[in-house]
Amino acid sequence: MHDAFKVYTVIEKLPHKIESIFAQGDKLYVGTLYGTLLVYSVREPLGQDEAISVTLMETLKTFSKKAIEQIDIIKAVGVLVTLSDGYVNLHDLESFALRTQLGETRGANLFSVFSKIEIQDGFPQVVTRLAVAVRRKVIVFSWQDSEFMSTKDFPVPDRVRTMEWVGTQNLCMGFDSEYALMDCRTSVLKTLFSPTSPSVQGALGSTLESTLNTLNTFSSLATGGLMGFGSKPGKPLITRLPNDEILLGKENSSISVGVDGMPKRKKGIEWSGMPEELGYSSPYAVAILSRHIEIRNIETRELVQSAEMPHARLLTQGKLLYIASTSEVWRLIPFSFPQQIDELVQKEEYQEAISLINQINPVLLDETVDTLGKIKTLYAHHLFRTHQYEKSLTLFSELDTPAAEVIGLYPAVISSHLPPKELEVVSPKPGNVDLNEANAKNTQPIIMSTKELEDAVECLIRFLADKRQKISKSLQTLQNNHDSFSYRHSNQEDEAEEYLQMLEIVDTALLKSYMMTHERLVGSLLRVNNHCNPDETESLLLKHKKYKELVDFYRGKQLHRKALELLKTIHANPGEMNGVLPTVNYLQRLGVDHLPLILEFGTWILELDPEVAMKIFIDDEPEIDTLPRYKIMAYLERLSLDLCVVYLEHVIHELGDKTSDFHNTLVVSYLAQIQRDSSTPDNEEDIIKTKAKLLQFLDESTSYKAERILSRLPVDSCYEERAILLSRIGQHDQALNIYVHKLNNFQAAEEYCIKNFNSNDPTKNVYLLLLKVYLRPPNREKPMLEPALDILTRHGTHIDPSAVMALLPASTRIDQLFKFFEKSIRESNKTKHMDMIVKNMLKAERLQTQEQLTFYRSRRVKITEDRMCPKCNKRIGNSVFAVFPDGVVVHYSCKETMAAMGHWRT
Amino acid sequence: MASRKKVLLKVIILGESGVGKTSLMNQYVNKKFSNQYKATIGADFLTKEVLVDDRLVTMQIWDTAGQERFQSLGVAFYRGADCCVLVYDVNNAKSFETLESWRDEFLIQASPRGPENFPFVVIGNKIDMEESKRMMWDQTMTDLRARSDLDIYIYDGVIEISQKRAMAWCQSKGNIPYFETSAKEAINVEQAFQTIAKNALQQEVEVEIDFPDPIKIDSDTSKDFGCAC
Repeated sequence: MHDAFKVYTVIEKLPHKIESIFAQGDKLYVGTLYGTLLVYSVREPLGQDEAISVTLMETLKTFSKKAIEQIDIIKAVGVLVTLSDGYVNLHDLESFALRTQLGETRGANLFSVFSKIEIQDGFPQVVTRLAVAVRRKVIVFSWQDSEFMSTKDFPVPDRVRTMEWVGTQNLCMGFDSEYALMDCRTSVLKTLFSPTSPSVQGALGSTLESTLNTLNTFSSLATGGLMGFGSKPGKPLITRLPNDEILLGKENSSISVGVDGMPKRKKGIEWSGMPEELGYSSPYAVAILSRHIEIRNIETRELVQSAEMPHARLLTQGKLLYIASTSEVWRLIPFSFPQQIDELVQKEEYQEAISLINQINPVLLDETVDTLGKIKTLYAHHLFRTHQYEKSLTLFSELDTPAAEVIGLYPAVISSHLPPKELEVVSPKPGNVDLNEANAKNTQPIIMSTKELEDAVECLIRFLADKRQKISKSLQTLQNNHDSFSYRHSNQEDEAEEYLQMLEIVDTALLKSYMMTHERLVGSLLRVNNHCNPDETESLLLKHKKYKELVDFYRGKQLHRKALELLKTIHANPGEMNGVLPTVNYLQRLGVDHLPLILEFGTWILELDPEVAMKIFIDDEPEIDTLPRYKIMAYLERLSLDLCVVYLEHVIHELGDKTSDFHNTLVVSYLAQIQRDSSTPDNEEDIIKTKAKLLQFLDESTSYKAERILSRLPVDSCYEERAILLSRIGQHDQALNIYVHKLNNFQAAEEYCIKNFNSNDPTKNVYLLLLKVYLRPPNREKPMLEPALDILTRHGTHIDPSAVMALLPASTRIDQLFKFFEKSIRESNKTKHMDMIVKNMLKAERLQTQEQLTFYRSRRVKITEDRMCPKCNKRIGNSVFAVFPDGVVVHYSCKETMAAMGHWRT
Repeated sequence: MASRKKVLLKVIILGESGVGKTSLMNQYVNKKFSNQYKATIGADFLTKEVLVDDRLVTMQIWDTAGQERFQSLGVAFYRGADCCVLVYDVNNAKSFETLESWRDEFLIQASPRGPENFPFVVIGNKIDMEESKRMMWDQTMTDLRARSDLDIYIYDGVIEISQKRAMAWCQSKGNIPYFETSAKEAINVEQAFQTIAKNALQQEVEVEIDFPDPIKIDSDTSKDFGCAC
């Protein structure tokens, strides 16, 4: 509540009984029960303490014979409209002489005037309507400017108790049991609702009600129809509001309705009693109740002011608000709006103040206009202080209040990261005392319970989420603009810097809020692109032992070293970050750009848990594929032989890498493993396994450099390996030598021959080489005849017998060679027969070809003088020609075209 | 009284550009599919009435632009969502990798009351493509096997890993329901959205929104206006 109006007494103890009042400009017209019209001049006081000055200008004792029931003015026509003795009279506004008595209005009980400037045919014209209620009809008189236009009658179902124009076309009427809206163009009557609740109606009973209605009709006729004391429940009351809106009384409440008959506001005004009269003086609704008057804000419906005015029963509408009893008249003059607003702000009734500013014309606000935002901010602060967090933060959000100001309202657990200067929230504006005082309250710390704080934080989260997005958007727009200019704006950079600072404040506060209410969301925030302050985040997360989130945060901020160091420190702690796996997962996603880090932090995990840790190099992740294999190989070689082997096996077998260096290194590493394991006992199994792998690899891989590895083989072992390597470089005799003399494995030697025999290359006959190995052993050893003969027996066909004879020692028994010779002879016989067949077949083929040649040679064409080329239709004559197989002869030059045309596809 | 209230479920579809968010929605609501790609601008929604546990509810399905991230949509857009659908393309590993950040962004923007229990559903779309790709691959494999001198890598493993990964991820995020669908062939779309509706409804029941009572001005209008003379 505040003081919207100051009440002045205009007339006191008037000897005449006041029946009607009307105000226009500085004139106050008072009509009395005995037909006297009094005209006063009322001067508004200039200062606060001055009294109002009232002068009686005219007293027209014989204005009418009967009571003057209603007064109004039609300015455009220059007439005073009065209702008296059941007639509507038009008097001259200056001389008060009767101009016209509207005869058709006999029995009138009520009229309503409405004027409006309308554009007609391009010219503005004042359209005036006068509606007069006469028993069960309404007569409407129309003027355009000062010219009388027409009269129209409208039947209505009941006696009109009150009516008001809604625009120039619609008339809202109140009957005893109903409000109705009539469109004067179509005469359609639309019923709205009853001014009385059904319960009251029911209690009265139908017969009683009708009796009462009749009685009331009589009494209103007698008293002039305006109203009676102790009016019965649900007296219809209509008040016109701006913008074609009307306020209708329904017992204790007033409901606002639009021109379409639909309610315009969500809720009706609730008065403390049943209004006897209703008025409107922008932006307030005024009601006369039985003992006092009430003034309410039409928007907020709050009681603004109430005043004791005994026996008040009449009021004027509009800016000039007069209220009259039978013998007194009061004037209610509004305080200036800036004054009212200041008072409201002081009383912390911000909502009222905001509503007031929204409703009144900005012209009336002078220097306070720009404070609407400020008042709203104060209101938001007030809501916050009164623990209405949701409303408060919604309003802050609407106002786009700086995040620092809002965060500053929260206790240190949320707001400690704000720079100190930000804590002085709204800077006091010099010269404005009221706002200063309000600010003083703002800076006081707000005490909240845990539950309240949680609620408040919940609201803050929404506010911040909204904020961070808004700022990000602005920042992005700024950066896009920046990109489109080639030169640099220094202030633009400052602005961007400012946005980034704001984002940091917002994100850090959001993090703290999540930490308080939704720990789960901490991770989400830190994983997405965020601007949380690194130091704050670090200490907060460490305090809450949120290591996983901290690692995510470091990752997002590219602080990989920190993340990895943290992972290393906490790897022994129980929980989800235990062990090497978190580090493995982290390193796996770093990629080639961070190779030094991978190698640095790979070491400790590889030492701790090599099997799991190796996944940083051999897992199926896209980033791992980008790592340089050479460097990793070198790194692992230094670290551990076994790991290097695992890696190379992966690279070669899984990834199919054919780089010879990898293959060489793998072979060398296998050898090293064997060597290492043989130096210590109890490693038999490992050695066997490694050997098997080595042999298989040497056998299968084609990418290693055999020469290079040969030099690294130990001299006194690894004969098998040496043999494979020798065969790779084509040293079959040496390889065979190893099988025979070092390994004494004749079967392996034979298999070797089967594998490496190439019948197309007789100069390198491995069988012959093997034979030589057997029969011409080095160091004058005894030739090994047995295996040599076995070879001859089984594979003799591949060896030239004459070469064999040269090799065999003279002492060889001939029967031992029987099998060899037999096979050899059979083989050569076979070859001989085969060759003969081939020879004869080729002969036959030759004959056939010759025959064909003869045939073709015998073909001829005759070129006569007349022979024409079918292509160009010219003589062939002596020119070069071509003959198609079907005998067609063309010029040689025409041959291609002819063929292209499809003649005798060749 | 609660059952008499009209239930409106707000479902938001998120995911990388081109994974088939619009197609899924269109297949579910309109039973239509188009092979042409048209990027969604901003956001668009379709509604569908669904019967969930004998209750008729209206699903308001919001399709969003994958390309612009959250830039064009305000925080207000995500408020009051009852379920969030995360979509990826089973043939596109990257679209799966970004699911986590879509989920994170959503949680931050929407600030749901209980982020721990907020219903998400993950959909791996375009399994029809996978099928056709596989068929193509099988053909290639047969051709390659004919030339036995070539090393052959087993391709099938790639897709299976991504599916296994998707399931593991859903498990790790509190058992998010997971569906593999084809908007093109209408495989599993109905089932996925049925689950979405069901889970969204559970969320809705937990957060009842009270609307202010409207003022009644015509309830006591007396119909007779006296006699007609």
